[in-house]
Amino acid sequence: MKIDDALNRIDTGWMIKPNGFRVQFDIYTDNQWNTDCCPDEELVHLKSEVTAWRLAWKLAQTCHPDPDRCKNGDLANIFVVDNQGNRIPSYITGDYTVYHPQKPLKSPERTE
Amino acid sequence: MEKLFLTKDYERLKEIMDLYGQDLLQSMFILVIGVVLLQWFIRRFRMYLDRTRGNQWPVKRISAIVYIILLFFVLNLCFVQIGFDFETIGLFLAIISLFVIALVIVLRPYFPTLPFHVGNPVFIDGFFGKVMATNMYHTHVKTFDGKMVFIPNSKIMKSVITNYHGTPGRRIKIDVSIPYTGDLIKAKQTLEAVMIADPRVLVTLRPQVWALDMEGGRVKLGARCWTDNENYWLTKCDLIEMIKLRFDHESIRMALPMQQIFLRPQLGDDSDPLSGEFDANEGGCQ
Repeated sequence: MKIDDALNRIDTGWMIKPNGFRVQFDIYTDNQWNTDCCPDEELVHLKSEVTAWRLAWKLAQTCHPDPDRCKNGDLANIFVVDNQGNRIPSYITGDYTVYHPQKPLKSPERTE
Repeated sequence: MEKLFLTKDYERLKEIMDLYGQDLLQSMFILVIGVVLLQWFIRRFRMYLDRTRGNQWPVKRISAIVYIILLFFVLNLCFVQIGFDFETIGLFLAIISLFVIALVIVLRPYFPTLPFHVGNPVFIDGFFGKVMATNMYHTHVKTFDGKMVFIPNSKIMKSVITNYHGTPGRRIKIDVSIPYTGDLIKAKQTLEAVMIADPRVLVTLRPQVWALDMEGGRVKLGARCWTDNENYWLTKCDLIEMIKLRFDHESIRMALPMQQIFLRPQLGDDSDPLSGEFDANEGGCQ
């Protein structure tokens, strides 16, 4: 195996380098939860994982939804996803942190 | 006698003014209006190009060329107004322009020029900021803490200047120390993994971690990686934050600065203080 091949194998098999991050969340509108993300799908990803988690935390601070009485504009299930849409573990806690968990989430698609 | 000469000069001036005054006035009027309009147009034109093609085209150079061509036409118009022939004047101006361009090309290496352009981030004489403008006497630098500094060009010529615009990428250097008892391999792997996982860290010139030093009760690890020039500062700050927290999760302790001090026995003790023979374990502390 050539060195280049070995390096390519390491790149694809060891640490996956994402192209960017988004904050995904559920927003309560018209009496139901809708999934949205920030920045929007058509916009450029955030390049910084730190910034993405900081944005997620700040969004979580904007509301404190009551699970029994949801109101329009409430945010729940706030977490960070990579450019593929996979949840990523928080660099702060080391696990799959979710701010304001409200309903069962999909299991993490990818683990390190 | 003197008065007579003055009167003669005045009469001659009056004669010239009667003949050409009207045309000269109109010509100067065209020149002033033309130059003002030209400046306005070029500013708009440059802004438009910056907005639409800023990244792909050499906007500054294109604007300068368009400016020179339009100035050529304005001057031509002025001369025609006075009464000169358009073709003759056009030819004359073209010859003069080409001569000046040739002169500038030949002599340019010998002109003292500033080693930066407007918009470059620079470090000059203790000031770190962005070059906003330059003129014959000063360079305006807007520092990153919001101050406008005017640095004399004479001082710049004598100073060491760092222009951060010159290279596309920059190397991030983060040194971390772990205790002797720490897991060196785990720390190295963690550092490398954090750097690789960041999208802004470049793939070519791969991130590296070196064991740099082994002194003072600790092992010093050097993490090195490359990133784009514009991402340098934020990437470095983010990496430091992520490395610290990842070390916490992985239970890798950072080494604290440590110094070993041995206390000599007091005078009057049985041992000879000058002999240097004392029990370090007894009187020492760590």
